[in-house]
Amino acid sequence: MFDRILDPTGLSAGTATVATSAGRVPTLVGTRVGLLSNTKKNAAQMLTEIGRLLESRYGAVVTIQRTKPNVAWPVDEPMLNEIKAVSDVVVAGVGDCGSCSASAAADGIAFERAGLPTAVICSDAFEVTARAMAEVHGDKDFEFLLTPHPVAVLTEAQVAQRAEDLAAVVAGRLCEAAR
Amino acid sequence: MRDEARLERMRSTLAVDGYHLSVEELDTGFDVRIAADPESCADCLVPKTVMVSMLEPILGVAAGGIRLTYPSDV
Repeated sequence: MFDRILDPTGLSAGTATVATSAGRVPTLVGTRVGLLSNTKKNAAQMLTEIGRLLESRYGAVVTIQRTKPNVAWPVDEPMLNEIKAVSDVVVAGVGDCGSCSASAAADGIAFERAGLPTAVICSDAFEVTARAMAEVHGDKDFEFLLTPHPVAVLTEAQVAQRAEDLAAVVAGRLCEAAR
Repeated sequence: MRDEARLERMRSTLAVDGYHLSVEELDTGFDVRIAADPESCADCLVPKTVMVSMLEPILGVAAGGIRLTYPSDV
């Protein structure tokens, strides 16, 4: 399974044929949250804000936040394992361009296959590339969350508002009871 | 079989990042070219292997039937 993550493109073992989702957590109270952002402007800030809201509203605990070094490539195995070791759920994004939305979708599928419910956030202009990447990875119906494009140009206050708008759907993606 | 609707959606999505997709059908497959605006985001184009994989179901051919040219190739 993970040999596909070692290849920067995520495709070294060919296309998977089945979707694999992790089970949702029963509650977010005490749930350990891992945040995986990319280097796109405002991505880390938005995930930080969402993490803060998951803590204050749902009782979750953010245990780790990492940034991928390259927006175009899916998370590598060492970083995936680092996050997996201290997380019960993952929030990843923000896919705000063609390559980063595609790699964010691949990240979400990788974490789900590793057993972690994952909420992937992409801007709506790049739903096509995220969906195409999900299909390449054998999970064409993978569910990701959309926010209006663009994200990179938002002010700090606007990022906070976007996080506010997304917090409930992120919680619902990770935990059935939060829906 | 080539899916024109999906191809158009991919074309529109690439255009948001400043890229322009053209597709020419050949006897042996498809010649796909992606050109870049001067202000396009260099990191925003997926690796070529990924783009070919994305185009396979859209064009209805296997990877071997897609000749892809990126801006960095010309």
